[in-house]
Amino acid sequence: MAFRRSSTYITPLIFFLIVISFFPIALSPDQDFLRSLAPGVIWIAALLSSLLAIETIFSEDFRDGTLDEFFISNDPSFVLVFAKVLCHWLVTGFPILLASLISSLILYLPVSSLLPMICSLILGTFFMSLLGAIGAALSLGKSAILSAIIVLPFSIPTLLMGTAAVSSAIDYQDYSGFLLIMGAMLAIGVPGLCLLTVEAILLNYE
Amino acid sequence: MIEQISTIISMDGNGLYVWSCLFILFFIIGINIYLPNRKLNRIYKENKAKAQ
Amino acid sequence: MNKIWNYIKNWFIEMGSPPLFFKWSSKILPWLLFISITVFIVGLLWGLFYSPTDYKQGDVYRIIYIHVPSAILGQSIFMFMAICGFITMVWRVKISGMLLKSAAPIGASFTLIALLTGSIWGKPTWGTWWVWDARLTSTLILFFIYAAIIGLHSSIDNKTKADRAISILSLVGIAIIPIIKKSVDWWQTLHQPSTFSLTSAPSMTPDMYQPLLLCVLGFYLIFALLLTMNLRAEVVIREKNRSWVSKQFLNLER
Repeated sequence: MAFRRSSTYITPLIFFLIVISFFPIALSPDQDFLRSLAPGVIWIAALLSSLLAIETIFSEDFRDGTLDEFFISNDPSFVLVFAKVLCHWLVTGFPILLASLISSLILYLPVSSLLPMICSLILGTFFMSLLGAIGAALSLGKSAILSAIIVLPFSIPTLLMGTAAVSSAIDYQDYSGFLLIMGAMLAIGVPGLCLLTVEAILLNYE
Repeated sequence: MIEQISTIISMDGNGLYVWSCLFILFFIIGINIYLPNRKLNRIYKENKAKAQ
Repeated sequence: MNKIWNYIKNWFIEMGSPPLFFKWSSKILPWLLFISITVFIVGLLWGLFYSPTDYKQGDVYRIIYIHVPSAILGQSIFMFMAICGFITMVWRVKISGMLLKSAAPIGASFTLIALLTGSIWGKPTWGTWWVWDARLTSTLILFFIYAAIIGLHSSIDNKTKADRAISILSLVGIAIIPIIKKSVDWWQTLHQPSTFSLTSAPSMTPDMYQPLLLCVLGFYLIFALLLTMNLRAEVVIREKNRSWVSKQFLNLER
């Protein structure tokens, strides 16, 4: 469904690249400086653009009644919510992954840190999509800034673990621990957050 | 007597820090006490006006 | 066993019904006011004037009697809110949603007090107002979460709906706060090996921690007082048009 409109997957991509390119312009084009900054910059940009994209996840279905069908149907509704989040992540999170490869060139990241960056971004942006789904469900029909305020404080662990994984890879240290923690968070988050999202969507039908 | 009080207040030159903390504490708790009572008062007045 | 459980449950539901709550809370409010303010003031006076001076930090350490209790309160109020949120979501008890709503600004206030006094304490002891220490960072995030909860509640017009929305948010919060704490700790060990620590200062003498315990108790009582006041206001606002409000409220107040 989301594929039909190109804006859904082009916009976060462009937003991501613009934010990334602002950092060298605003701070300094110095190579070493940018390299030390790169993990944080990429992660903040990824976080913001995935939040920006998640806004629309339920709003259109809510308006045209597809969401009603979800809850009337016999399938367990949290599976449907999970499918929705997964689709949304494939459409918006995946372009960001590709863009992060480009941005690693711009920010002079060493090649050895590309693998942990991609792995942590896969885990992290998916967790962000799950969190963002709750935010979007709670603030259906309200301003986008509200759901950002709701979701951003909860995204701190993802941000910390992600940047820690990438920057420890730059220093040639073991980064697998951080990825394992992110994976564990995701494993707990998928059932828990999906159930709470269902609960949050149902609020709009009372 | 006055000397004693001034030593307590100055606290070896750190009095400003301690007393400003105390001020912040009472200020924020004061706001928290004031707000619900103001809400109650407002409704009380509204209801009073309606009854008369 | 089942009978006793039902009895207790019904008692709670009955006590929680708005008119009854308003009645019994008006009875206990003066007592609560008296006791909480007495313990609060006595604890603070004891801590600020009669406890011995710390040999390392001097008199500045007395901020501990304000800072530590409010930090403890900031966290335990969130715990309280999550319990209320669970009750609201599972059993749809009306009063627990209102409790959740009225506890949020109080928790935010105590967290704010902890942050402000912490930075005032940091100035003379560390030399700066703010350090990106693990504990400070996670308290700041806790404050943001409180702000998010308050913001979400005020943005939804239907108040029962808003209660359930923030109960979901408080449940997410209680699951994620320990993770935030842990991850901030790990982040610390990665970035700054040596951190400042407040609590590893020389272990306290009884003269110091007895007033601290009293202060903590006093802060809890103040929380109970503020919560009761907030909840009374909330109940009356929600049920403005019910007959019991005009009956009881007009007769009982003043």
